[in-house]
Amino acid sequence: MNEILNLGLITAIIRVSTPLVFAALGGLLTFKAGILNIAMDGFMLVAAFLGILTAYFTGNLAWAVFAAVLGSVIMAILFGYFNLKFKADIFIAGIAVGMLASGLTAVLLQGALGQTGVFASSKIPRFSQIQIPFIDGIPILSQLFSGYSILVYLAFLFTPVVSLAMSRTKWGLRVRAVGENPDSAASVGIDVFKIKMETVILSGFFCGLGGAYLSLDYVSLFSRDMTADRGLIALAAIFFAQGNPVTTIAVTVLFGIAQALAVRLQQSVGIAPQIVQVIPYFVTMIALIAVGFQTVHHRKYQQVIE
Amino acid sequence: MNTRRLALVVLLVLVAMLAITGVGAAKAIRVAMVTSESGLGDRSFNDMMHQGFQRAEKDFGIKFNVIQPKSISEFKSTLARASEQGFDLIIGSSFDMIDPMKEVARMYPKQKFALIDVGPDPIASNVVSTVTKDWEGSFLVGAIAARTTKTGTIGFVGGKDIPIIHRFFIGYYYGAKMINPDVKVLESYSGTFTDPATGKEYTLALINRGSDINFAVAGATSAGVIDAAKQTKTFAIGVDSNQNYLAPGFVLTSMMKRIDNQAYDIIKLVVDGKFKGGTVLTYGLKEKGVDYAMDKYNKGLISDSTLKLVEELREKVIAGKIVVPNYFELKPGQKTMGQPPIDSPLN
Repeated sequence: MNEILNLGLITAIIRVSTPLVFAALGGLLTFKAGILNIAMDGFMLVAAFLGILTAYFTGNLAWAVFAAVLGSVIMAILFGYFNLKFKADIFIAGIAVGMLASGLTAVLLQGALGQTGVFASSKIPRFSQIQIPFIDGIPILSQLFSGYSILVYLAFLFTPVVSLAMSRTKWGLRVRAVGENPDSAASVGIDVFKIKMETVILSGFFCGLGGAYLSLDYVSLFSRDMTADRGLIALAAIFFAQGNPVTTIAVTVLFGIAQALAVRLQQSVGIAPQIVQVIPYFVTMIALIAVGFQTVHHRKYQQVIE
Repeated sequence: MNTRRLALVVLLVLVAMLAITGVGAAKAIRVAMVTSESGLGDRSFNDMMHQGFQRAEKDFGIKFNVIQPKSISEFKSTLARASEQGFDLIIGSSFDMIDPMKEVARMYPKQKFALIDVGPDPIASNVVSTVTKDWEGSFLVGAIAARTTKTGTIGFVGGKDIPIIHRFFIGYYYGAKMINPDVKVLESYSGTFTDPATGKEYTLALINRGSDINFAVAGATSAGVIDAAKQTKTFAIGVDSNQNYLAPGFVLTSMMKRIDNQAYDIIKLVVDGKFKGGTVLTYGLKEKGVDYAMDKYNKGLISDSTLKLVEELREKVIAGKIVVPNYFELKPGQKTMGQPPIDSPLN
């Protein structure tokens, strides 16, 4: 049992969860504004590629993250224009951006880096691990909370920021109004296109950080389609939590726990890998059912009051 | 007058025909290399096969053209077009080329084809195909890992829990146990061939359990295994082509399929007039179809005594004194997750 439950598990959970948290933060904003954002994998993939490309040529991680975010935001603007300006169906726009990202990164991988499947180089620097000063000496706490890269801390620090922006600011109120009923929002003078576009761009920003984390911190390489549907998993988490920021992040972390446990269960206990690999999805589905029951119950309760 | 003119024309035609056949006799054998969709410059299968062609060019004076289809859907039309161009032999190397080649080979029954590193079933009566005995190569890298480990524990990260991957694991396990029956061989399957981050997660978990050398057989997921080795200062073992360059100093070696040798041999068959369509050639250690990679990137990582021992093992496999078990010949149920599939070879 000690092989499974140890501090290595906690760091594994955080590693697995971080890209999902970034994607979920981005997807939350668009979800609230009434946009089904299935293009997040595409945003992250472009970011992951530009991150590696810039890090390789400049040797500077700050520039790499900047390029990653910029590329992701450009893809997001493209997605937003397809859907909001040219009125393309959201599914078509999402799939188009996803395919564009996959194809473009594959072509550039060959064109700029001369590789077809995987690119890695010892010229690419790694993020330094941040030691938090106050808890540095304390045994378990320092191991739990210290020693991650800046991106990991950003992911979890942005969670309350997004949550507060949604619930406590004028902008958050407008986003929610646009999401719930765009026509009435427009009738009171809210620029629906502008608000929606802002959430799309912000989702590009967060996915950019997620993609950069994936290719520069989690691993230090780029491979084709390396996001492996993490954007869709984050989207599922958002739906399960019905757009509640804190619950959404909790669900992504739950997925991370299940995934990290699954890896260890397979190796230590020898359960068939096929069964173990279903665990994260199974756990997430159970969470969905629980949320579903709660909602139905809540609605009935409200009906009784009315 | 007319007869004389006719005679002249006939004479000219004869001379011309002689000239053409004369040139034809001296003309080199022309071979086409059809790459997989990743094309030349992939530092993997296509580049390796290209080297085999270059060697054949030097040794036999053949001429060859490289044809690079851009996608799997172009395989069939590419093969058909090549068949119209009078090549003596057309060689491809991709699992995805099996069906296209089967169809095109039927359309051009006189054209000679070859398909490298595919399954044991014959493809068509005018196609020679090869099977790589990757379990024999895995056997050698397993032995190297067991000799080199400092913790006494080595690991394996497969892409999926499927027979074709078990083949590698069993060879690896057998090689490790042959060197040291006490070595622990940890087995795991990441469930994906395309997600390096997940590959890294599995590898870190193996390292957490004491493994210091991990054999990656998982496509692009393998890159994550190598990345984990680099970060934790342990070793990874690459697969299929020489992956030592991906993390110099941290990739102990790579289990290579020597498809360059396979292409070279098939060209030689055509040169010698011994090409026999419909045959399936197997390429193990004996046929130089598999090997472990040694280059400047892993120089000094494997001790000389280990290399000597591994070469002895190679000789024994070639001589038939050691038979590395093939997964497909095991009894049903003999291999389950977490259970040693075979007895320790030393017992």
